[in-house]
Amino acid sequence: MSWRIAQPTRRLEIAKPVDSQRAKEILELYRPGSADDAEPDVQEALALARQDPELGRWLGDQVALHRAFQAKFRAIPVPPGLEQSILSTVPRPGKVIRWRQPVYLAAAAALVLLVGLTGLWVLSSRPEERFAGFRARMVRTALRQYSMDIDADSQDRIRQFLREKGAHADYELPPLLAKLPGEGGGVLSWQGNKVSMVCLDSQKKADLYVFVIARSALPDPPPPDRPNFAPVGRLKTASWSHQDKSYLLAAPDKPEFWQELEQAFSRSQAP
Amino acid sequence: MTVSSGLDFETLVDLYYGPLYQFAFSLARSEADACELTQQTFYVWATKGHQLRDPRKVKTWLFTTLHREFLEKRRKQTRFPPTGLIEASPELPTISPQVVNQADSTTVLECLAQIDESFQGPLVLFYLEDHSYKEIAEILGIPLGTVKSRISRGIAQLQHVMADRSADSPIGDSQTRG
Repeated sequence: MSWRIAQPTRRLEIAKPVDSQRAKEILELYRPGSADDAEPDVQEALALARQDPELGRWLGDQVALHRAFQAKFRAIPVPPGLEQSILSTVPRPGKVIRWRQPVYLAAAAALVLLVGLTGLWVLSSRPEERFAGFRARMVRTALRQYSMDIDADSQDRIRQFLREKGAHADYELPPLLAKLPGEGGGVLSWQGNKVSMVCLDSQKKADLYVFVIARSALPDPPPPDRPNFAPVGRLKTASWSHQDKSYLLAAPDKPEFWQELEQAFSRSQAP
Repeated sequence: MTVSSGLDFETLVDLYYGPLYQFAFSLARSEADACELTQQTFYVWATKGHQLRDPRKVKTWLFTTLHREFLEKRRKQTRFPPTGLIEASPELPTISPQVVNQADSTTVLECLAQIDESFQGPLVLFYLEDHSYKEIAEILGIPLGTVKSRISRGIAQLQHVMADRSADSPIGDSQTRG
């Protein structure tokens, strides 16, 4: 008699199509414009939501609730002077002064208290007035929920709106950007200077933001006609100057888009 | 064309001091403690940040450091105020976005303090900076598989607390939906 060793049978896993209930489980914590969009099951659930009115309404309510909570947490007030306090008291990397911890903490706490009580600023430099400060501020604007002053899919319409508002409207965008549909725009302010914000549809599930400011508003504007690229937070940025304006492009770090943009800049060597 | 390999210190501070403070405040619920935690985080960056090999991880590194500093600070305290545990029944009505919109941040944070402590951190990170589930797990040192359920249950508890509060003393026009 020969023994036949029973082979474990494999359960054939058949992917079940997403139904409404499963879609709700998948989309319960869905955040539009986040990494969630890249998940295949999320995409499938979103497709179902577009077809199913009841599911679509439920999703709309969920997203609205998440955005409401998100706005509240992001509105937690930050003490004025905290940034300057950090910049003034924390040694720069590579120049660590080996203070005894309790002494440092006591000094830092005393300084925070001083700033809070008297409103005095200990300033050794004003980084917020330089390009890095401008860039960081604009990226935060792009990363956070904001209301555009105008929603328009036509760049001409956005430009006209900016012109009517007395903001920079005679900007010149590289051809790669100039041909994209618009999403909207707005007029921002930085250090008392107007900033035109143009939001473009990359048609790859990612919005692009272009910020335009007078070159003279920056003590250290980006170099003319040759972009600098830098990651800032979750976004990647490109900055350049052309004639009397400086430009900042902020977009999600999607390699295919940025490779195309870098090649376009290489070919033109000028925005 | 040049590609910056990282951020200078000033830009790093400018970009992250606000969100770090907000995270610290949601944990510590004290302005002084939150300021101290934020400053200490950047101090640690100044001394140890050079060890970070992947500059794209700087945000996660900063939030992880702050959370670690918070836990260390709490361990040294004699007593940490206990938080109430609210078990939200799935049958309870959820609140509408309008109720949340009409509340202020202080109210929402007070309600946050009443939910399960293990849900607070994941929930705040989920909303504050759109952290991914993996980032939240790294920052808080919790299993990735538990992140989503902690957030989900935290949100359910938070809605329950806010609905109760809205019913007792209307935050705005009380609107509930089933």
